[in-house]
Amino acid sequence: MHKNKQNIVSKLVAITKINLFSIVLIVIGVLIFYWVKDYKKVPSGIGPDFFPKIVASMLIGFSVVNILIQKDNKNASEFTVKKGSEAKIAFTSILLISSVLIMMHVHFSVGMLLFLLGYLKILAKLEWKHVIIISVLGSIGMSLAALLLRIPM
Amino acid sequence: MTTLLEAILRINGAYLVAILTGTVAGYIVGALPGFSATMGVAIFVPFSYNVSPEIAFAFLTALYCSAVYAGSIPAILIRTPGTPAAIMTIYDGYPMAQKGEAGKALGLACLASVVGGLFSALVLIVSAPAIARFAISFGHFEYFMLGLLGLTMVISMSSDNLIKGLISMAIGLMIPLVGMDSMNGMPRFTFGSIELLSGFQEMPVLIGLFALSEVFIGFSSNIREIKSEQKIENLFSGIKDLANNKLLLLKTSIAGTVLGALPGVGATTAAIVGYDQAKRDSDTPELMGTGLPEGVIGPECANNAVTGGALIPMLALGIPGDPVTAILLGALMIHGLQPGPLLFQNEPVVVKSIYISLILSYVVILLFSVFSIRWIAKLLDIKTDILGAFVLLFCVIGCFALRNSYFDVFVALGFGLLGYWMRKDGFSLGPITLALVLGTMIEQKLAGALKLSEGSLLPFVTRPISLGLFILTMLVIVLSLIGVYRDRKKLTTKRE
Repeated sequence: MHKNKQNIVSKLVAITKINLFSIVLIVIGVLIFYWVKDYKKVPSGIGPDFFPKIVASMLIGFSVVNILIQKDNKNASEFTVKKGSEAKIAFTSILLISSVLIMMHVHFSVGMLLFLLGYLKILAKLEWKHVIIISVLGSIGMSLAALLLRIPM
Repeated sequence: MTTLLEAILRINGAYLVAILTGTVAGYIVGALPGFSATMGVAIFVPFSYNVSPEIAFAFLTALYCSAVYAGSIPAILIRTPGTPAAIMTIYDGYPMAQKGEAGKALGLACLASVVGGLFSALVLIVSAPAIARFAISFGHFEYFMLGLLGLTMVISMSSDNLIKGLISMAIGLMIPLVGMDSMNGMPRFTFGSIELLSGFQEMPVLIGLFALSEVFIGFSSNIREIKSEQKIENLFSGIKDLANNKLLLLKTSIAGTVLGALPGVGATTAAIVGYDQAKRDSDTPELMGTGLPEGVIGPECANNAVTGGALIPMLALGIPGDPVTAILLGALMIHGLQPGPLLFQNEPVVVKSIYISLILSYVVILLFSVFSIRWIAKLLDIKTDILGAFVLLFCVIGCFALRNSYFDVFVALGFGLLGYWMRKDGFSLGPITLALVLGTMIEQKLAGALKLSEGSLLPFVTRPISLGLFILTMLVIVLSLIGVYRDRKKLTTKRE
């Protein structure tokens, strides 16, 4: 009995892992129905809730079908996820957000410089000499480009 | 004629510099594995905001055309396509390079691309105004049916996984729902946020999906720095081979142009069709894959013929032919130009200027290849990690430049992560692009149509053009589903 329960739980976990994206979409679809329930109704019937409901129905319906079809199939990813690549993505995202916040509150060039320093040293694994040269020249070049193109960073 | 003259007179130094810069940018984006024409256009569109529409489109058209061609450079030299459209060029281009004919292969790719591109430009010039004139009579009902027809192309785009394609389409339809509902004046899914009142802007979404997600996927790639050992000489020694394959050039130009005009098909499919045609036309089909010139001519001619073809529905109907033209559509709107039949009436000089830039782009590609292809090949020596950092910064500047708002940068990052997750799980991004562009139009036109008909659906089938589009939509659905079923059956039979 206990072994059966364990088997069921591990199967559910496996299915959830494979179909996480579809499950998230089903949840979003349900939430859309919840969020639009208080939208005003219009006489013609094509109110602000009309299209969201159609899209939510599509999301839920297609995602359920995808889970049912895919339960035994492997994902047809167009690339193989390398070990450590998702950690790099997380780091890049955090670095980008931090740099943009610095651009917003300090100066655009400072934010850019810090982004380049962090990315080139930690992700590209260059030597400090190269990191500093490329970062300084790169941020000067990008700032000049923004100036020339009249982008008020 | 006068508008053409006016467009020609507007060609000045800045216009030519824009074409040259666009060509160089396209070569860089196209020649570097891990980047794509879509990514290049997405990154560089924001840099065209503060210039005139003619100069902006001269730059972007040149970038698009040269990026599609330049993908053949690493395909031939290091057996890695620079863009997905160059995948078929590897089969005969790389063996040619190994035999010491790298220059000949690069020259053939260039010439074939120029022929295909110029052919499609001619078809664009002749057919787009005619289609636009026909579309002038379209009303809400017809535009709704046209949008629906465009969405049904998702089925043909997603033949390998139909359900995932439909899910991508649904996600694309969901994105424009955020913000102010233009018909009822009510905020939707804004959760009290002022930034979300204007919704997700198309450009940051596309930059995130196509540029940022590509950088993230690059972390899983093995391409870091691959040096090309090939000597590049006798660039145009293959002109005789080109002359011997005139019929192949014509067939693949036509195929590429037609495929480009079909929403959602794109240059990669055209390249596959072009290679297939080359095999059929070859005197020695059993030797294809060993370094035959027609194995380079076929796919390269077809994939560049897509450039003009994809501009036909974009300009004449406001429906993108591929993800690149979806981004160009957004660029047109940023410059205050509404693509579709009215563009030909209200801004004929801009339309003519786009034609001229397409033709001039291919002339510049030819001249640029003659003088600079050896230098472009040296680009392959640059570490892609370093380039990735600058691509990300370009994306930041580009997203900010749209509305002087860093919020759009965060939107791009969010969609970049979404794009990565979707591609990891085997979802394609093409249907999202189509649905994103068509979704708003479909909702608005349906609401407008039902208001006019007082809620009745009958005019959709009683108005002749609308009925015709409805029948075409049903035909596309049925034929695509038959195609999907046949492919599945073939796959199952193969497995057995």
